[in-house]
Amino acid sequence: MTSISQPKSGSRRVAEWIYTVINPLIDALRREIGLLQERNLSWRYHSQRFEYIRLVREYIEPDAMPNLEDFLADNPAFDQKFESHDRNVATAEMRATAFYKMLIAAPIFDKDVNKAFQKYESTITPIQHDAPSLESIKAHLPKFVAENLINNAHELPAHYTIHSFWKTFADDFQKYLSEFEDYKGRESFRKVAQAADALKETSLNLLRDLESQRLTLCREFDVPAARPPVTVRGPVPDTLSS
Amino acid sequence: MDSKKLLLIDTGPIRELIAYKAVFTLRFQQLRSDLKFVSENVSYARFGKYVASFQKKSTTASVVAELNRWVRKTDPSGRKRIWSLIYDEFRDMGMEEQLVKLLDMPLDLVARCGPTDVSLLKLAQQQIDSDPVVLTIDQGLVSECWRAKIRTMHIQEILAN
Repeated sequence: MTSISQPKSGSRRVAEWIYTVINPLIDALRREIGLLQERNLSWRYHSQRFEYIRLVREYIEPDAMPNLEDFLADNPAFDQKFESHDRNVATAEMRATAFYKMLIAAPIFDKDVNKAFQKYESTITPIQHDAPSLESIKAHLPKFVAENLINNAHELPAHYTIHSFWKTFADDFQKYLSEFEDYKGRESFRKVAQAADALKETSLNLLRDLESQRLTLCREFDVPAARPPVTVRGPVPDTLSS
Repeated sequence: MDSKKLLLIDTGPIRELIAYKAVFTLRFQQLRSDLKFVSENVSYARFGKYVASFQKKSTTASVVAELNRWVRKTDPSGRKRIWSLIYDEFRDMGMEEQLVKLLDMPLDLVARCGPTDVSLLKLAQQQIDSDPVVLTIDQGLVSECWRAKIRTMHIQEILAN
C-alpha cells in the first residue's frame, strides 16, 4: 500500500519549491509587468520572439525542472495559471510577429521608411557623429523601425546608431501606424496592444497568486522566503588536522 | 576638423552600460553594485552622448571573454538575460568586434597588463590612422596608453565634464 506523506515543518522539499520555482517566477513576472506597463514587449526582429518575456518553463533553471514538476503535483491549481500565462505570451508573440511580417511586406511602409531615411541623410553632416549616416544599415532600417513600433519605444539611448533618426521620426511613424491600420483593416497593431494588455493582466494575477502561495508555504512549513546564505567554514586548525 | 573617428571600448565601460540597463530596465537589483560610475539617468545620458560622438565603436574578442567572466559571477538564473542585453547593446550601438591574436602581442606586455588590455593597445596601434581613443575604467590601461602615445579616456573624465 502506498501513502502520500505531507511535507513537515522546515521541509527542504517545500523550501526548494520556493527557491528554485516560486522566487525565480516572481522575479521574472515583476520584470515582465514592468516592461508591459510601458507596453514594451521586448520583441526582436532577428529572433521574432520576446527577449525578456518568456514561457514559465523558460524562467526555471534546467536543474530545477523536477522541482517545478513536484511543485505542480502538490499545487495543481498552478498548472492552469501557468498555461494561461504561456497562452497569452504565445498569442502576443504571434500577433507581434504577424504584424511585423505584414508591415515589412507592405510597399507603403518601405516607401515611408525610405522617405524618412532620405530626409535624415540629407540633413546630417559628415562631422555630426551623434547623428551618424545610416547608409550601412539601410537594408535593415525597416526592421528596426518595425521593432521599435512594436516595442512602443519613444526614445532610444544616445549611443544607439538610430537614436537621432528615431528621435526625429518616431512620432511620424506612430502617426503612420494608425493611418496604416485604417488602410489595412485586418491584422492590426491594435490587436498586438490588446494581446499585450491581456498578458499584463494574466501576469499580474499570476504574480499575486505566487506571492500569496509563497507566504502560505513559508508560514505553514516555517521556511524562510529567501535561501539562507551558505555558511563558509574556516580552515581546520593545524592541531586538529594532523 | 573633428577627429572623433574610432572609439575602442574596454570591458569596464561596456559592463557599466549593460548593468545600467539590467538594473533600470529589467530590475536586476543584484547588479546594482556593478554600477561604479553610471548609476543614474544624467550620467547614463552623458556617457551615451560621448560614445555616440564617435563614427565607429569597436572592441576585441578578449573584451568579450572578460564580459563572460563577469556574467559567470552573476546568478545562474539571470545569465541568459544578461547575455541578451549584451547582444542587444552590441547590435544597437553598431559595435564592431576584432580579433587580436595572442601570438601577435608582445609577451612582456601581456605578462604585465594581461591580454585584454594589450589587445586594445594593439588594435589602437593597428588603426592609428583613425585616431583611436581607448575608453576604460582601468587606470593601468590609461598609463599604458600614455606610454604608447595612444589617446585614452577614463570614464570619470567624461562624467566630470
